[in-house]
Amino acid sequence: MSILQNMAIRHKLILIIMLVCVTGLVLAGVIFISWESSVFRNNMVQNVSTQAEMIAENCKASLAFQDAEDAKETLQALRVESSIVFGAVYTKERKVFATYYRDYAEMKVHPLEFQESGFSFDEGFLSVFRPIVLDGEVIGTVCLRSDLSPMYQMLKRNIGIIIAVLFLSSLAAFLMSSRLQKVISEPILSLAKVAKVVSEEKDYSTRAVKRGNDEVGLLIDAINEMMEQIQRRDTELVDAKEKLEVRVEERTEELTTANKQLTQEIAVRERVEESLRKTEEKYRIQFEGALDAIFVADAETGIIIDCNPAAMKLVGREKSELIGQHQRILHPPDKIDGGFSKTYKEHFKTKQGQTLETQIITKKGEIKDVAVKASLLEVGGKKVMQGIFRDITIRKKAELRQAQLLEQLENANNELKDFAYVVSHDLKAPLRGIKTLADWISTDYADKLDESGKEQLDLLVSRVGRMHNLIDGILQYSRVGRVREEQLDVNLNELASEVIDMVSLPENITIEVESSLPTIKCERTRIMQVFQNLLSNAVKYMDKPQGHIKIGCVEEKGFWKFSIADNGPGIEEKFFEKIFQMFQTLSPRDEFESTGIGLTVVKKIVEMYGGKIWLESKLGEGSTFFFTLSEKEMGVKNENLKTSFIS
Amino acid sequence: MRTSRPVLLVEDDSVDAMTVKRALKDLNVVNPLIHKINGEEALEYLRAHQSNGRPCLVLLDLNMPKMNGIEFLKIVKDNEELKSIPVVVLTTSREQQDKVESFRLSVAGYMLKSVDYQRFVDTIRTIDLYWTLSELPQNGE
Amino acid sequence: MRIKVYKLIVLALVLFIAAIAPKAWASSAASSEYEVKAAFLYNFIKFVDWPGEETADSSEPISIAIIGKDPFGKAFKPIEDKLIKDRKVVVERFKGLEELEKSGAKDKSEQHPQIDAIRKCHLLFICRSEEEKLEETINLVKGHSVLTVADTEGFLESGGIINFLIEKKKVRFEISVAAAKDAKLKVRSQLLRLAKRIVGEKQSDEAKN
Repeated sequence: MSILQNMAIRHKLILIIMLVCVTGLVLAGVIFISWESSVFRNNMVQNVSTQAEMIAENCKASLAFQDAEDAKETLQALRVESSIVFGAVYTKERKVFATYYRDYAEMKVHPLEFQESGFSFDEGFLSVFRPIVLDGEVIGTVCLRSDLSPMYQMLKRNIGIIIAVLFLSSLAAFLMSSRLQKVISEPILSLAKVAKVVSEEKDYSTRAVKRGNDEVGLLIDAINEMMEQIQRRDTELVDAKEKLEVRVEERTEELTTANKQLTQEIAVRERVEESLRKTEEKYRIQFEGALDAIFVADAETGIIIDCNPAAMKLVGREKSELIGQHQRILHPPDKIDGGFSKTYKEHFKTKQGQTLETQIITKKGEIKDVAVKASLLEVGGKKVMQGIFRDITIRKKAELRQAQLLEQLENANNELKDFAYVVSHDLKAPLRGIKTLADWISTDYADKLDESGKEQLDLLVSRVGRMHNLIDGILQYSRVGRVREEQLDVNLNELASEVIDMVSLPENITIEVESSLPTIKCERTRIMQVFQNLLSNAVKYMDKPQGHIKIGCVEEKGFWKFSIADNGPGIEEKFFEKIFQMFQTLSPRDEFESTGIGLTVVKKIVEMYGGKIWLESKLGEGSTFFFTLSEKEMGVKNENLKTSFIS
Repeated sequence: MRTSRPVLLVEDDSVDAMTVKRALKDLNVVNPLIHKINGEEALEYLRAHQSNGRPCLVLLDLNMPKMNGIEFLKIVKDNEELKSIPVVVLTTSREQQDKVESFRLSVAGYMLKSVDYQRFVDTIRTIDLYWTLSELPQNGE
Repeated sequence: MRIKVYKLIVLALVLFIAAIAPKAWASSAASSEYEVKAAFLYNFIKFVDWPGEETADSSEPISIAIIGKDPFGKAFKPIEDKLIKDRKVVVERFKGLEELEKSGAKDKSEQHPQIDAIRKCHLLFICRSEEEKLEETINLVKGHSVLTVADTEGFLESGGIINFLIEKKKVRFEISVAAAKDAKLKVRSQLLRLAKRIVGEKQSDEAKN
């Protein structure tokens, strides 16, 4: 069997084909012969039987009339048939009636067994028996014996033919199969070759040639594809190997570096640990020595785990009475919400690091106001809440007092304000009356009054006027602090020209705005008042035939320095302070009717805006009043800049 | 005034009242002047003289005892019958608040009492001129 | 070679006789001949066709008439139950013409019951005793489809159809085809072939099977 296996494919193929063909042919031959023989036999039997029948028919009379001669004669007709060796007619009693022998030398041709009807093959002969029936009655039997020579002849002939055919067919089959086996074997062989090349020379670039689209073709395709993949994988592998080597190198480098780093880190770590220990110590020292009370509680449970001496002092408890207790024992009941103090909760949730105010309760039951700042820390791996408490009782009291005072002040102020208004108004009323009456008297009773009388009435009227102004002044002054207006951006250039219009300028006085005035954020009327008062003063006290008033503004160190300069009479230095006081005038009232309030108001306003006011003056030449306003606080960006900013 | 109906002056200060009278006389205003010294009395008068002797104009001072001008104004302007009577406030008060309140209560004018008599007369003249020019509803309406 | 052939013939004959012998010797020697003849008579009928035979009623028996001095005796005994063409066989003996005349029939052509009976037979065997009146007897059944058989010399010449003869101690026969034709009987060729002598028309006329 292994021999078969190890044979070359083409031999196998040829062998198989041949075998198949031969088998087929042989089988066909055998079947053919058998068939032929069978048919032939049947024919023979048929033949002989027919002949027997004929003889039987012909011998009817002979037998009936016992004419053996005639019977014999009839039998002689068998001579024609060369294959029939023996013929006999038997009587009813199975006795020989007439016989025929082809070859009288062959006595052995008598049948061994007698049959009444039928046929049998025996001793190389065919024996056929036929009954002779006359009028429905069997009167005898005919027996014919034929040798099988024709059959053997035929057989011989057939076999000869078959063999010839077999031979020729085999030859043809051989020729054809050796040609056609190539169809199968060649592709396989080439494939085998490829495989050989691959396995021996490791050459993955070889490919098999596809010849047809059958299974071998598919195989070739598959193998080619496989080769393709193998080749690819091979290259990939080589690449990967190279890359791997590179990587290994890199890795080794990395590891060496890492190792170095690690050693460094360890050194660092040790240092850090050392410093940590020192920090811990420091912390401990601070903790113990802090003036403020520090409580440390477990963040989750709220159980106090540590406290410093200041803490103990604050609540008047020993450490042993505090450690292990819940932090709520520090607070009075109204400061506790749901088992924790309110501030603790707030600190825990959102307000870490913020200072909240609450109250604590000492062991003796004394309640103290405290400010608490608490934060979540991690100490020794545990989350804790550290709270720093400061006793603010004193502060609280002070705050309370302050609040009270403020309230009083507020009230006083308010009273004053209302008072001022009412007073001024009510004070003015009788003044008006006096003046009116005085006027009427001087009008109605003009003829009844002498010079002195008229003068007195005039003085009366003037004094009334003064009184009026004084009251107005007071009212003005009081207003400065009272009515708070909206802070607007006031363009001082515009304001200045407005004020200049308002102040009734005599023809001999000019007012000039020297530099561009800024726009400031302030209450309009107040700043107007400043300019108004300063300008009206300058106008009022002008003693020169040509009066020049200059308004200016410079920037100095984050402040605007405004200036109102005049060429008036000037003011003596010793009066620089005085003039700002209430009701202070420099000239007798009869000369210049003045409330004495003007500058007081200006000063109040300027100082209210956080500025300063002073003056420079030279007697006989003029005075310049200066006042400053904070640019930072009141500054508004330049108009131009503003517009550009918008656009 | 367009009509000859009286003018009601509600003023507590006698001097001021005298001044008004004097001014009117100087201006030859023929309308009779009814002078009440406080809001209450003024109201009484108005209620009593809704048709007969109904004033064509009320000159109202704001600062008065018992009932001040604003309160009076409120009541008058609340009254269906009386609210149609024009009221001109005549006061010394420059207070914004007073002005606001007055105009809120539909005053027909707000005049300042001048210290200077002449100016005072000018003011009254203006009032007279205005209320001569302006139409007024008929008697009793 | 010839010697062997003869031997065979003798053997055959011996065997044949031996086959026949039990039957032949069972009965008396004299009657063996007539037993054979009786069998032959049966066989004759088998090989002869009567007109209208195909449509004849099979219940009607085949009748064999023997006229004259009956030589058969019990020769028919062994075969009396046998059927010929599926029909029973009846053997009737009739007296000879002389006797018949004596019995009262003067005119032979008249309807004599016996003569009618004879005429209705299939086969009429005329015994030797009727040798004198052979022709007359034959004429008796002329035109009646009766197979006339005898074992008398000159039977055929007298108009008989089949005549027995002995040759070499074997029962043989001779046939007159013409007579058969007259009797409207068809004799089969096989039978004719076995006849020692055929008288009449060509044999080919008869071979119509």
